[in-house]
Amino acid sequence: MRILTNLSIRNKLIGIILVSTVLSLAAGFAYVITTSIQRFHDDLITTTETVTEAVGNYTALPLAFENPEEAHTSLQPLRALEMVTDVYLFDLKNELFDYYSKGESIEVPEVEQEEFSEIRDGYVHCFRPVVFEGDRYGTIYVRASAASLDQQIQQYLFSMGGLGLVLVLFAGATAYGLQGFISSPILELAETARQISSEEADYSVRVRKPGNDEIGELYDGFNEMLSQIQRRQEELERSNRDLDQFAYVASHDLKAPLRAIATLAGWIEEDLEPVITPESREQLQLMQSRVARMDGLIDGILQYSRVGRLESEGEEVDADEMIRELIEVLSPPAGMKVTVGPGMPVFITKRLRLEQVFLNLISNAIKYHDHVETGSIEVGVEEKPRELQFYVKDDGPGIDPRHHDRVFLMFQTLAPRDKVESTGLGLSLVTKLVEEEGGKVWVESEVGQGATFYFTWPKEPKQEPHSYVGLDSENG
Amino acid sequence: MRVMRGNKPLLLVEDDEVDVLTVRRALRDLRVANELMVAGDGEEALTILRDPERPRPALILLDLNMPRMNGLEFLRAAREEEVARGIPIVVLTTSRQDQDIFEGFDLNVAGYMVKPVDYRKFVEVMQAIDLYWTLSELPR
Repeated sequence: MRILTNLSIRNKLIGIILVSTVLSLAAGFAYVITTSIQRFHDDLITTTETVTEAVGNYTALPLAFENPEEAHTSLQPLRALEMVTDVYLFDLKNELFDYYSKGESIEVPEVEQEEFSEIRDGYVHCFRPVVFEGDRYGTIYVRASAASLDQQIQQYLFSMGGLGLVLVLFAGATAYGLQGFISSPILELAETARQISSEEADYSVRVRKPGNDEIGELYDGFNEMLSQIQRRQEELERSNRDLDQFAYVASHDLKAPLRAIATLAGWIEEDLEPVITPESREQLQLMQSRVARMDGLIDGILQYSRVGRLESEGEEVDADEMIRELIEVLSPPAGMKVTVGPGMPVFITKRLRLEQVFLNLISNAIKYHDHVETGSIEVGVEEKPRELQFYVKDDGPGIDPRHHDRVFLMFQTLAPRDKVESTGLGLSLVTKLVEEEGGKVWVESEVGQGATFYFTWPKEPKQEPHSYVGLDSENG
Repeated sequence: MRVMRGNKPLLLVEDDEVDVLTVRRALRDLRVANELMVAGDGEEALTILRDPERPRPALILLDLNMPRMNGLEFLRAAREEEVARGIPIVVLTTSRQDQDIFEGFDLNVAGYMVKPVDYRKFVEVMQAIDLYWTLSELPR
């Protein structure tokens, strides 16, 4: 049944028309053929009866005058008929008066007093009374071959079959030609929909209405949807641009006074060098460090808001190479071992995003480590059926299970901010990036047992419509 | 003490106080003795330049983002009025993007500096426009 529903619309239409046609033709032909055959049948009987009776009546007088030779001559016309095989003439006492037999059987049939005809065993059997001027003188029986009937029926069936076949073919051809009226607009719509759903989505296409029927309505609806999508797409892009611009300008304008504060604090420290007290110096330095922190926060927020909008295409990435480069950039302190496990894939993915994730995780592993001179960090991958599962494992202080959920939130840090300078945004950024690719991120850790951060990543980049490429900030 | 080739003042067109302080400090650290005139915006700068009583500056340091009349407008007006003829102008920009805009302007711009004013950069630009030598030096 599934096969039938999965046929193309075109084939369904042709199929429907053909089935209707064949059924109707079958019904009609069945009726016509049955009645025709019946008629052939009846015609043969009628003809035989008529001839039999006509000739039979000529034997009335010979019967009356008991003249077999005369009777025999009268039967001549019947004998001349090729299909007639036997003729039996009976008198009133039902005794055989004369007969003629072309062939084999000389079996004397039972005399039927009534007029009787039937076609049996390929022969027509016909009993007629011999009558002259209202008086009955005897009975005549004729047996004739029904072969001609068989032949007639055969020919008839043959030609009917041929006609039927031609009609069905004709119906098929017509159906094939005409189904286009219905199927073409539908197929065109389906094709357009398929195109739009593909990678190079062009929402500006419109389909041309074929007519004012329900399909036309469908087209109108489709075009309307496309307009809406296009409009939303434009709004989205505009909104993204505005957001980008806002973020850029905001970060810029927020940073300017910060710079001034830091500079002025530096100048005060410099200018008061000979007379500055240690407390004041410390205070000025704290001021500068807070300014630096705020600067970092602003950068972090800017980055957070911009991430994901910069890259929408995948490119070939050698994960192993990428991670090693990142490790170099991060330059872990001497003594710290950072290893990359085997099985790192080379695949098509969104490079920048994956880089960001690793960058944050590895940088965290280094930053929060409690014995950097002897620490070790391991970066690895496990291939799952439908995704890749990466992990960054360290042997640092570990994270209390109580905090496992919290660390992924924005602005959450676990170490006091004066011990480890951190924006608290790194993991929330990682979460955002990973979840946008349809993955998950989680941590397995106990206090004093190090920590392993896992995240899943798709093997193929997720399809998405064109995103706006954001502005560059001076920090890149 | 270095031989002074000129003791002309420098004109700084800048509205942000801290930026003004920065330039002053940079000049002090570079031991430059020339007087620094400060105009808060383009209008003020034009007034100073138009005044025949006041000495012509040896150099104009121009900020782009100012109220009333910003850097660009000042440049156009100055060129029209020809009050800044022969005076090299160093543009102070807050982003590298502005530099691209200025490339297209043939407005007597002798150099660019990105704020915050970095002392080394300051010196480099000065040297590039060969004006460093016209800047007088403070006694040690």
